[in-house]
Amino acid sequence: MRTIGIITLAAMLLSTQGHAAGGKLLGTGGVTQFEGAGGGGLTPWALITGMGTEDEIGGSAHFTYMGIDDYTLTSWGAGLGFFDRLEVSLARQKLDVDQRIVENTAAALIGGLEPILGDPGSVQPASASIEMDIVGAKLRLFGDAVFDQASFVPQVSLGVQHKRNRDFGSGVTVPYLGDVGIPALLGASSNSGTDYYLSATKVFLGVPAGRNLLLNGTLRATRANAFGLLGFGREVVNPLDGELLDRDNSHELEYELSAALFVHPNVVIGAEYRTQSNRLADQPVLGLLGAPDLAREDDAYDVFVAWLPNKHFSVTAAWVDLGNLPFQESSNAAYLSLQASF
Amino acid sequence: MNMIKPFTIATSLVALLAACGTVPTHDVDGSAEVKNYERSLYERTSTADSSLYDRLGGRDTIEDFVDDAVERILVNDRIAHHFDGIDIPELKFHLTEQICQLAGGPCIYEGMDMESAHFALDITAAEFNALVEDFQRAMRANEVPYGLENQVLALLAPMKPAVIRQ
Repeated sequence: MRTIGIITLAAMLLSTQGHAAGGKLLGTGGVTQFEGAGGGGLTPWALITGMGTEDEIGGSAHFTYMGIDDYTLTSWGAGLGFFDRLEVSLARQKLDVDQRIVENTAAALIGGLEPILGDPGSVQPASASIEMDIVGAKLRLFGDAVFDQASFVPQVSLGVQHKRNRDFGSGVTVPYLGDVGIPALLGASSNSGTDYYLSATKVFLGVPAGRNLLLNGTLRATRANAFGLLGFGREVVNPLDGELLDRDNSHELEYELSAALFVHPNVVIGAEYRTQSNRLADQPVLGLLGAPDLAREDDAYDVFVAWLPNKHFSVTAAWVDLGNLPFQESSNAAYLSLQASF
Repeated sequence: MNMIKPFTIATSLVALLAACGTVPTHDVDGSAEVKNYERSLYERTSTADSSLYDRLGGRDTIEDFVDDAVERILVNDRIAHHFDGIDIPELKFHLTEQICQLAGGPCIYEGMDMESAHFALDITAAEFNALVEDFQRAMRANEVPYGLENQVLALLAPMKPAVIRQ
């Protein structure tokens, strides 16, 4: 946590130094999505982060906050862009789960066990937090999103995000089971996984109505549940006898769409849409306990406005809907992200 | 995966683009093919009646912001050195003719093609962008509306591969 924080702060300080920012045009490095890759707010784009052109090295640091009623999701991290060709990034996400959610989740799971196992005693679940580290890399395969105005060929990049959930198997104390982790409890099979994605981005200068429009499509192969915050894959075990009931560790293909419009030289508005695998839905153990859709996932989307006063700094505000989270069926979040870049 | 939602979104985006494409420019004598830059997406997708040249306000406007841009370029530490020894009035004239023609005006650009003009200068992408930014500042200082500014950029952007690294 400290390492990523230090790297983030260092990158932010570096980017505010008086020396010239990189040579890219304003806004053409994108902002940083909440998993650390250059792009929009939810979605990685084919753009390479930072202001460095093909002869330069650039980078960025970000801090993002999402307040979603009983959940709070923060993420922070830094990335480097090499010669407008390769991007590497490091990010940490932290999902703070309010005590009410932990209590209800525990109650949903334990309630069915009490008749069998007897009095649970007086263990009081407290609030919990789920942290995840994400190491990312992205390679621009071909295309120039901004300057190739002579054809419809987009800029295309291939990316990976390796995610490691630090609170998979522990972090919450519940009756009978002691110290457990919410992701494992809900039926995830592992604490880490790798997403592979392909993004295609195109900027249309002067179109529509004289404004610059950016469109992006991303295809992602993933095993993650709730972006990885609820673990990876699915493995459902009967809690009473350890019998394996269900397992699914295959990658699913998801897609993501973004549209962003420069309405003013320093202001961008946009919207994004991202599908999720919904791997933990209809989970048999949760079903037996009466809450089969506790970990159901919906598609996520957002609408945002970003202010880019200069090449070093930007602020993005958004309204995000992350869909269902355990015991919070409609997770509408206020989203705020700060980015420094060089 | 439900296919209706993505299909609807994709169709709406395409419809939005089609509906909002505004003004075309005319490539008066087809010289775009000759001069090493191809017609931009903006040119190909727009449909309206009056040219960018007319909407900019004709040659006077173009002359004004070209004049302003060149003055800025000559004091821009990043790129001024590339213009040592260049005949500035002639540069301004050629740039004006070029933009005038690209924007659909009654001009014929008779200068060098972009590759020859920038040969052996080894212009970098960052330097090309610096020139673009000076043009943006010049257009804003001359009160060219933001929408038209972007359309001018759309005409200049395709020149990048011909200009850099020659």
